[in-house]
Amino acid sequence: VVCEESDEVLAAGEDGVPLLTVSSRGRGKVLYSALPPFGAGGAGPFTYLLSKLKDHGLVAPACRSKALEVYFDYGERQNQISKEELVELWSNHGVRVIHAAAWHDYSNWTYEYDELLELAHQNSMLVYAWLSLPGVSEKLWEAHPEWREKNPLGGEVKGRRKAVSLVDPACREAVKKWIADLLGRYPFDGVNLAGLSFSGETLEKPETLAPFSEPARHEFHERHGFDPRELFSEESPRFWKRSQQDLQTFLAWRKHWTTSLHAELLEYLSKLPGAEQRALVVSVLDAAANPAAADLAGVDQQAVLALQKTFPFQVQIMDAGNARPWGAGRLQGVLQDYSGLVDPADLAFQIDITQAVGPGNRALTGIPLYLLLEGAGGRPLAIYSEESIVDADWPFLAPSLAGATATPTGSGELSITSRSGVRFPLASDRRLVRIGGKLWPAVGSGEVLVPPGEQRLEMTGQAEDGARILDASCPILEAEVVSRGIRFAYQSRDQAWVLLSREAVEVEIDGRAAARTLPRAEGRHGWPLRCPPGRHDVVAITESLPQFAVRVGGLALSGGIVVFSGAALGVIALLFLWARRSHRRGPARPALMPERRA
Amino acid sequence: MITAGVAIQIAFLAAVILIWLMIAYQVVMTAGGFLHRLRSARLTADLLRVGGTLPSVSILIPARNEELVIRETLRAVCSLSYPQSLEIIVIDDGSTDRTAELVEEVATSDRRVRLLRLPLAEQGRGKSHALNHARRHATHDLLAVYDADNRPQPESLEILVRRLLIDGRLAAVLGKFRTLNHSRNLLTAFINLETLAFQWIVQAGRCALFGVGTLPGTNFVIRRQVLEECDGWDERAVTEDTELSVRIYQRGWRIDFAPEAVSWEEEPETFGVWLRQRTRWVTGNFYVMRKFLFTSWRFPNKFLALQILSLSILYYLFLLAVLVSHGVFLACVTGWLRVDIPGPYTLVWAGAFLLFVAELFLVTAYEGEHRLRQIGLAALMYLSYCQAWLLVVFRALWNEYFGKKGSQWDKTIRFPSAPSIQRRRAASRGGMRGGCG
Repeated sequence: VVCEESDEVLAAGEDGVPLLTVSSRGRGKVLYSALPPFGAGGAGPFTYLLSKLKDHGLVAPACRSKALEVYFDYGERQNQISKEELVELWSNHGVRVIHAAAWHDYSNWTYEYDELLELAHQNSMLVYAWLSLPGVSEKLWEAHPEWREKNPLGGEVKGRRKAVSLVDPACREAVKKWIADLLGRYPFDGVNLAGLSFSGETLEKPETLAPFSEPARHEFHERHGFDPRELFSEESPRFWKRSQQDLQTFLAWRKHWTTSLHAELLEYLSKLPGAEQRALVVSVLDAAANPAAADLAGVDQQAVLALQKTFPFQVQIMDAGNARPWGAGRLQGVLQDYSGLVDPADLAFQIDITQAVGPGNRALTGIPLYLLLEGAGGRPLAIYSEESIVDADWPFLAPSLAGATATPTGSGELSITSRSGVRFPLASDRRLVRIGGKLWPAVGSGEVLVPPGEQRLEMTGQAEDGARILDASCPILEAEVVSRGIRFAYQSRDQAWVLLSREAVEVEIDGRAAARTLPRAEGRHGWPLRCPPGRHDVVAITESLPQFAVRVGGLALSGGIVVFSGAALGVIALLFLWARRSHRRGPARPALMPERRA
Repeated sequence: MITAGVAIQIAFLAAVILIWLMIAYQVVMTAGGFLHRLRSARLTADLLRVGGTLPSVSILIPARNEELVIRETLRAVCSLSYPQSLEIIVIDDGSTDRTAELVEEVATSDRRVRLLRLPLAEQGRGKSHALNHARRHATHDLLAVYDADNRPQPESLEILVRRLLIDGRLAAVLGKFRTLNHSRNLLTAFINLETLAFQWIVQAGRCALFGVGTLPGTNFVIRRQVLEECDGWDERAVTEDTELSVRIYQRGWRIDFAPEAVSWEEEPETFGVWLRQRTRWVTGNFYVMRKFLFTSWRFPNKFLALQILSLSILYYLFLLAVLVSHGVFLACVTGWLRVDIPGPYTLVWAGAFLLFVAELFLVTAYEGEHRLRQIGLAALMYLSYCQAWLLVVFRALWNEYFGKKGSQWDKTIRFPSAPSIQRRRAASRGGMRGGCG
């Protein structure tokens, strides 16, 4: 291989031999690769190949999804940037749902959830309150030391979460009230009951095990006739290594409690004001891949999932790390494992990229990550956590999740097929979009919101300055411009946010009057409209009758004036020519004066 | 529901409609003025060709401290080529300068000139009072009025009188006045354009289309009989000429405009003097409006009634429209406001501007003064002089509601001009040769 000085070496072997290079050749570029699958050099494929190709403008426009969900923990973020920048980053890269850590409530300060929510809604994104029970806010935890979770050694359970004893009825009520306050104060779009379980790394580490608070031990004693602490007392005949039966009793009791807590909290959440507008998500351990972990956490997954029949929540299967085989089929494996327990329509995936637990125990990034996302097949997928996503990966997440194909047709159209609807970039000079031959007003900043199914897309000249759908948190099934506004149909499991290019003065959902758009935030382009879950038909009147009259009247008036001006200028020009001609001949009066006098 | 944004849009459109109604009216008047110019020139030429006996005329020149201009005025008046006898009465309203002395000096060499001093008790009561006093001392049935700074062209009086005599229902005929000092500075150049536009568009247009003319205060001939019927000039009116015009029409008489009868006059050369003079005119028009507004519906000439109403439109609604338009424009430019009304509004503005310039250029063509410079002047005038009228109207409104009222001499300050320059100008137009005194 002969490299020129101007060539960019993207990867080189230990001996310095270039393995991947990009060089300019005339108006084009040449990519040379000796890495797998093109060659035998190096240890494996170049992870950031796509990113490098994109840097060199070698990646064609692709369909993007708005399906990504990310976990956001303000307290864990190392790089503290403003909410505005964060939301913009997420919005630009197809994030639909933000699972925001909801426990940042301190004695003297609370995280500005209202600002985060407003910014997210202005970008057609949803924010779920991520509850990591039995972990609670520091404010609650500090105020009630008596409720703190205990281990069998009598000490507080050490861990990342500020855990309290939910087995304690008083504590449980206080936690429910805390949740109610939180949801009452901030208009969260959903609640994620994430990993509700009891802590425990292994039975060998009793200091990590729960629940051993006084009320928990008392409750267990009442049911089973002994103090569970005895299981971890080597002197006791019930020591777990000696008495498997007592241990199983204890583990079953824990599972009973996690199921019971799930049921109680789900019921409580479903009865809170505004519950019908809030999505419910239950994130559970991937017990199918790692049953031991589920046992240790005290989770009876089947029993928890069975609650779905009573409380229709979405099930998010937490990442099982190395317990589940890596590769493109990993998520399909999850789907297969849970197909008998959960309706596939209610299943969502979670990928944990915070630890080096990817293929080959390397961080999950680059092409392996994109392939994994593609395996979701357009189903909801959450990444834990947003801060761990490297800059080079962000642009490829939404295209990877799109699960769409875009094929040019012979007639200048584009055939796009997708399961859940996608976005397709607009050509810079073509903003007038037709789908299936009809004008399509769902055109945001630089992209078309393409409905699900097979669609034929045509992009032509400049769009009219009418009402448009700029963005939406859900697929737009139909859209058309109507007199003084826009009509559209959508389908959403959750409450949806649709961003309109104009303020709606009147909104009808399925023929009934509904709340109007929210005010437009500073610097934003659109007005957010809150839409209820389900499939609905919306008519948003963006122009009141006076506005309509002003627009039509203004147009007619200005047009008429311009025509009149042109005609009047023409007449004046004729008069001028006439006057000049007669003046050349000489005015009638002065010419006659001397004659008469003579 | 009408939101604040829509209300602003409606106000903006209302302003555009109002402004463009005035512009459209102006365009129609321009066409009418053109017709009048053709008809009037032909009529005057015919009358002069036919000739005929003319009656004697009394010329009234009210004066108060006019030493800078009175000699030149008398020189021009004495040079009028009127074939019958003239009585030239200069009414001295208590001048404290050499006005009376200069008039007497001229009177010694031209016996037609007479100085009439107002009694001490009657001095300083305004131009109307001076004219009413003089008409009682005038001996002829036709009265001509000239301001003390006027330089009528020799044939102008004859034209006015011949035009008056052709119709027994004509009460008065007014001529055209031109700006003597139009090349003195930018202001006088603007005033020159303004006076041309007023006479060739408004006066001539009204005459042609509606048969209505209004006396300008100078360079006109009126029948004594009409003045007596009307009980002379209204001494409370500041714009006594306009006020008298309305009463003339009320009594069924008419006024004609003969633009071929030209008189030259001095115009303000400084902004302060201009502002005071124009404020006085607008204040005077408010008086006329107040006096006739509620009886105008009974006028035989309905167009005159409309003119009275238009005074209020011009000064109140039009001012409001211009202010709204300017306010919205400035607010949009500074980013305080965004008025999203679709339509070619830049062309609308351009249309108003171009029509203004074109109309002014057309009237300069009537005078054979259509130089490219006039286009630049007209463009500059749109952006400066016309805007200064807003200040005039504000001042007049202030005076109307908060200022002192009543008629008094609020004389326009005269500026010394080199007679040689005046003569050269006049000579170039074939006027003001010879003279008296």
